[in-house]
Amino acid sequence: VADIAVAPTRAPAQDDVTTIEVRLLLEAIYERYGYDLRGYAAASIGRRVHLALARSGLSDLGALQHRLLTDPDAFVRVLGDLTVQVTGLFRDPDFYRAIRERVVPMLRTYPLINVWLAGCATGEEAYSMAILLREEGLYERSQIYATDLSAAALERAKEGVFPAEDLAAIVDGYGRSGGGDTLEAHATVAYGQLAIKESLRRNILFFQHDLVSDHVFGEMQVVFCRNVLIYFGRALRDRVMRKLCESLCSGGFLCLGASERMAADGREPFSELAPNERIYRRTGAP
Amino acid sequence: MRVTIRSKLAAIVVAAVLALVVLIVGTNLIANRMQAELETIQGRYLPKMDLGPRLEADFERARRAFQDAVGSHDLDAVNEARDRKGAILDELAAARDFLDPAQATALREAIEGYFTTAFDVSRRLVGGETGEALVGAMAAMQAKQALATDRLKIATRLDRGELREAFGTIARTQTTVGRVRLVLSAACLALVISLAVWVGSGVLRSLGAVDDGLRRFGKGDFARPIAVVSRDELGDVAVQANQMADSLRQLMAERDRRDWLKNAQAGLVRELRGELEPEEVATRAVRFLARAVEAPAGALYTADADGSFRLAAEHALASAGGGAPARFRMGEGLVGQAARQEDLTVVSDVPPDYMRVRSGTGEGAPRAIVLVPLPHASRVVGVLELAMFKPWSEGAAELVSSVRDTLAIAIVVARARAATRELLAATQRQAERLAAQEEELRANNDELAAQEEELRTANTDLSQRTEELEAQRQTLAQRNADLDEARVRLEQRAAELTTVSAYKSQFLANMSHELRTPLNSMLLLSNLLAENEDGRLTPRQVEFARTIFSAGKDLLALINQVLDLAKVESGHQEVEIGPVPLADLAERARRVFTPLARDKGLAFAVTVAAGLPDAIPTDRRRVEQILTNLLGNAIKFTMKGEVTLRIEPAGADARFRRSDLEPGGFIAFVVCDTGLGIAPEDFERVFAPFEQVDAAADRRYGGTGLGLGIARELTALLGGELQLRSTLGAGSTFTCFLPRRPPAQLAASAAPAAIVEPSDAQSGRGRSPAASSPKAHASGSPAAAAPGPGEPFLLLIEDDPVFAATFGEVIEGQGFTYLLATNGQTGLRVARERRPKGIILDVRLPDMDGWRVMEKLRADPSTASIPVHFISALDASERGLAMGAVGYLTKPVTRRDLVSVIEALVPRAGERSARFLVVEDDAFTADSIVRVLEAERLETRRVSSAEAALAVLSRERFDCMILDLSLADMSGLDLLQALREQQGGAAPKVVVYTARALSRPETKALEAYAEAIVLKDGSSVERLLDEVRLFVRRFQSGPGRDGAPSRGLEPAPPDVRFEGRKVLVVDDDMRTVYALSATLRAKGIEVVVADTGKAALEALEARSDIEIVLMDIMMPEMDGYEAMRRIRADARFGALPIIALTAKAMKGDAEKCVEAGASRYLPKPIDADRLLALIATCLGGAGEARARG
Repeated sequence: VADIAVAPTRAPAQDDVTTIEVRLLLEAIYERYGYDLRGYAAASIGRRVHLALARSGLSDLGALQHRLLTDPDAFVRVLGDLTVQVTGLFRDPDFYRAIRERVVPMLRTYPLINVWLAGCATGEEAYSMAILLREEGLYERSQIYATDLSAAALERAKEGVFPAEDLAAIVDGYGRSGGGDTLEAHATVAYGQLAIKESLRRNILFFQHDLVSDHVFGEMQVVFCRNVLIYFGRALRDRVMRKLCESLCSGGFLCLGASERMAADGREPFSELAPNERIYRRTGAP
Repeated sequence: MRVTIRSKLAAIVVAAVLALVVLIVGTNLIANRMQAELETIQGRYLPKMDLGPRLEADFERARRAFQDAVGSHDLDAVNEARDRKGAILDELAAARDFLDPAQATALREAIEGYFTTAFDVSRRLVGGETGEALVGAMAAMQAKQALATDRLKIATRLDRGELREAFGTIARTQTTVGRVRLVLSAACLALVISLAVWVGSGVLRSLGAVDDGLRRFGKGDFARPIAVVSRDELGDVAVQANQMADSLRQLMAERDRRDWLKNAQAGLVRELRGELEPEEVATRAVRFLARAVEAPAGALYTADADGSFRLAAEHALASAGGGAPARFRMGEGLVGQAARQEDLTVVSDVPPDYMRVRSGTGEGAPRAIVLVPLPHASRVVGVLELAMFKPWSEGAAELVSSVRDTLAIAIVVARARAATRELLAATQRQAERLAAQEEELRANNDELAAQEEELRTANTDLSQRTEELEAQRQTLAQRNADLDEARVRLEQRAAELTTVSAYKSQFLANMSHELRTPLNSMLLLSNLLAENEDGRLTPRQVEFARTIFSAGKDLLALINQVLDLAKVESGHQEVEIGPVPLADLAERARRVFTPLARDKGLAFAVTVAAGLPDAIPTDRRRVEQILTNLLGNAIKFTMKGEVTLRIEPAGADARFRRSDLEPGGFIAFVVCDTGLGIAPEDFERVFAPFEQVDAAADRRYGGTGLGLGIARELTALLGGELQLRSTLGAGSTFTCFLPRRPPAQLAASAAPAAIVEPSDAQSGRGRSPAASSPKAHASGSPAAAAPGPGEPFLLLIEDDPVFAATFGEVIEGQGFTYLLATNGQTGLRVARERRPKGIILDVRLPDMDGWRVMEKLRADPSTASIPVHFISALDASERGLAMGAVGYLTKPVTRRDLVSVIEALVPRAGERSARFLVVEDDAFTADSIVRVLEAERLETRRVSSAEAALAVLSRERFDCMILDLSLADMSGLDLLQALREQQGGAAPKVVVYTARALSRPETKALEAYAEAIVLKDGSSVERLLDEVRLFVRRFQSGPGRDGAPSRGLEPAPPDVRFEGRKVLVVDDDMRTVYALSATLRAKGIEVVVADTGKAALEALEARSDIEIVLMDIMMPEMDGYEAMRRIRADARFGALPIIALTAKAMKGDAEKCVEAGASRYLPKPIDADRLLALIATCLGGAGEARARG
């Protein structure tokens, strides 16, 4: 992926050096803090590293590396820059509609529903899913495990309070996702903030979890891993995919991001349930 | 009464004068009395004192005058002397006053008597008388004189007592005067002093008060006026001072008030300085102002955009029961009303229940409520409300009025700033979001680019292939014509070949028969000879006989070889794997070939390298056959020098033609000779049957030329490889590599196709029977060999020989045979005629594409039901699956992919279909389930009660039970428990199918027995079918892939270390719990399960005998960290071993667990051995601890 994304106009030698520097930086982070970003897609992580460098005000990656090695606080900030946290309540309403229409009827047959949101960022997806499950009457028997690499993001996720700047978009998304109620039934909007109601937080467990190094932790009926794999390199993606697959029960649902395709060659034991919304179903025994 | 100090002073003076007067008068009076006394003494005593001597002197002189007159005998003188008497008597008479009258009289008489006598006597004497009468008169005169002198003395004597008394009186009077004077002086003095003291003290007191007051005033303490203690001049001063103090006080109060106001204003400004949030401004303002005006509570409402007033801050209102209302509209309530007005609104008479301000020590109703509108630019931006305990004061009013503007501006500014900041923050947030979204987009782009690139590569590939195909098609067309021609010839040849083959078989059979008969006699006889029963043969002769026997046997074996080769070639060879000691092989080689070598004058040595296993698992007969062939060959073609056999580990540099062989697992049998050697171009030919390199050599050395070929085939059959290194003229080295372990496919199957070698297939010798026999199909002749009729096999329709060979191997590895069709037509024909179990279909085929093949297969009723799996480099799974394929695999593929293809196509161990028992009391539901199952062609039985179910299950064996929980006679859970007790592990798998809503504990309880729980809700029929299919697939794939092991951990044999120990497993994931429980229970451990941290604590509380805890970390309700902390907080569990099991494997996760109280840490996935070892360690330690404790 990396080789393809490299712009041909750049001097190859310089580019090689940068690539090496980025790799060394990631290696340093891994050695020092245990966060393994080495398998991330080179083009993307390269851009993030340079963004972090620009924000740090340092002159070169060597200096940044030194600072990261010696200053854990700086690492926390840089980690925030290195990971991409794009999410939103009812972002991609078609997807939620598909969940409602295609997945929920199947979920109804499970007495306990475990949902794992791998890479939940600041938790909007977890709350969207919680709202959806609540409306479908499944929330009480659901347990949502929302995990992310970033402890800072998880802290925000646990609060369940989000800026209501694009309230219109959220309301619209909620409506288009097939929400049968008003959003006010699930959240309180005041002072430019949107606070998820306490009852919706009860069955959500936020936990720090690194898809790269940590193991799966339970059998899931639904696994969300949306717009996470795009940041991973090929090998890491395959490894993570195996983990997700391992975590899913037979017949469980895997939800990927819009540009994350399940290899259609049958390599993965999945069948397509809603290919446009990237919802797949695990076939075969775990 | 006003008494001035002056009058007091005057009073003192008067008093003093009066006292002095009294004193003087008093003393004078006394002195007068004393004077009188003195005068008495003077008048009485002093004359008396003078009189005595004078009278005496007169008397004396008179006596003398008498005497003289007598002497002078002068009578005249005597008369004269007598006249003296009158003077004395006069004098006496004059002193009458102060003489005692009696005494004076007596004196007089005495004097008179004397004079009379003296006169008489004197005259007689002068008259010269003499005689006795005269002497008597003279004596009388003497007596009279003495008497008069005595009496004089008595009369003039001073009375001492009287005198003393007089003086005493005087002295007494003197004393009295002194005393009176003293008393009076003292009294006067006392009076004056007391007056002075009285006046002085009064003055001093007043002065003190005034002084004190003035001092206080000076210090600014005007609280107390000077007390007016006296109504005098000082009192006036005090009054004046008080008045002055009052004026001062007022002045100062005024100044203070002004200062306070100024300070308060400045303080507020200070308080509101800095960049504050509007809320902070409001909070600070309310707090400050409430404190400034001493209001116990206050609130500030700020105007919102909609004109209503929102509570922005409150001070001490939260305690006032419910706090302040959050919002007022314009004109609504007092606040809203106040906002309409310009001025302050003061509500004085607040009803007691209006509101109450509470504190820790009490509560009370405020006395006044003050509402202050805060106008700014003709708009009220806020309303300040203050509740007062004190009455609303002027000062407070002035202050509040004066800061209204300040406050209003502060609010406006803060809001403006907040708005700006909010905007800025929002902009930044949006910028960040945009950046993040951009990154996401870019990552997506990368992804898409990568996918596109992949597609492009595939496309390029495709177009290349298309071109190639086009070219191929043309050549094909050309070749087709050639082929047609060739086919005619081939058919003729085939017919000939059949005949020849028949002849050959006949010949071989005959020959072997013909040869075996004499050979048997020879063997029998040579054996008898070798036994040397008569003892007539020399040992050497016996040895020869043995050699004859041995050689004969070899010959027999060789004859068998001929047949073997035929069999090997036709794929009917079989191997018997058993342990073959290497020493035996070496010994045999030595025994058989030493004589032969000796005969030819060659040296022959056999060496076995050290470090080899004693024996290897292989087929002894075959290995001996290989070695015999190789050694025989070597000795045969070596004229001089030596032949050696070395048995040694395969060198690390060994290279195999078969890519799947690794040098590490092989043993090399190296046969070296110093013979002719072989030219490299002849390497292949030496292995060809019935061929020798040098035709002339054929004659010279004789032999069949079969040996090497067979050796090579056999080596391959044993999973090894035969290699040749040689230089012409410098000898040859044949190395036979044999595996140390039996090759899997050999163990699994005796299928002939096991020796498929892709490289062989490419060698053009058509040696691989499996590859060649289906190719016979291509040429139209029926398969001569495997698979037999009726035997299940797979059909592989694939034109790439390399891939076909690889896949062939995999198929055989799975225990299946297969036929290969290299084009669609052949494939279709084979499918029609032989009915394979499944078809693996390539999309790209030379004659027609896979899609058409698929269509034709589906169109033909005889092939429509055969499952088809696509494999192609072309990514078109949707199309393939849409056509009804069971799967679609895109190249490149891995071996595992291929295995899964086979699994998808052919359910294994499917001799018996799974039997289902449906336990459902509702006839309609039961019907529908049975229909679903029967549509899947599954054998189904149905019962409507638990009792019936148990009865049926005790008689018959079912593989799966579909159970409704709400049965009339027994609860589903009870049924499951009863079944578990009755049948244990042999009980059928259970799928619960219920309309009941299940609680979490119910579900967990059921999960212990049931494979799956399907609620009758949503797409439940579909789900049920899924579960059934899943079960069937598992069932068909055999018991090894079913049940507990598939859930994770291998069960281990029981272990005394663990027998009866008690372990608490805490994990919310049932899958893990089952796997752990199965492993632990198999070891004899008693397992207690808890699914949350909370449940774990309860379990520990309930059971004191738990010896170790396995703790998951990530759990709902209470996570593992918290649970461990709580366990450790309990002194009883301080030493309880806890093993943390966590999916988290990042740096620091282990430390976190240990910090929380874990004794050990084990990352998931859990390795059973490590877990058990850890438990053993922990339990060991705990056991010791217990023993010690």
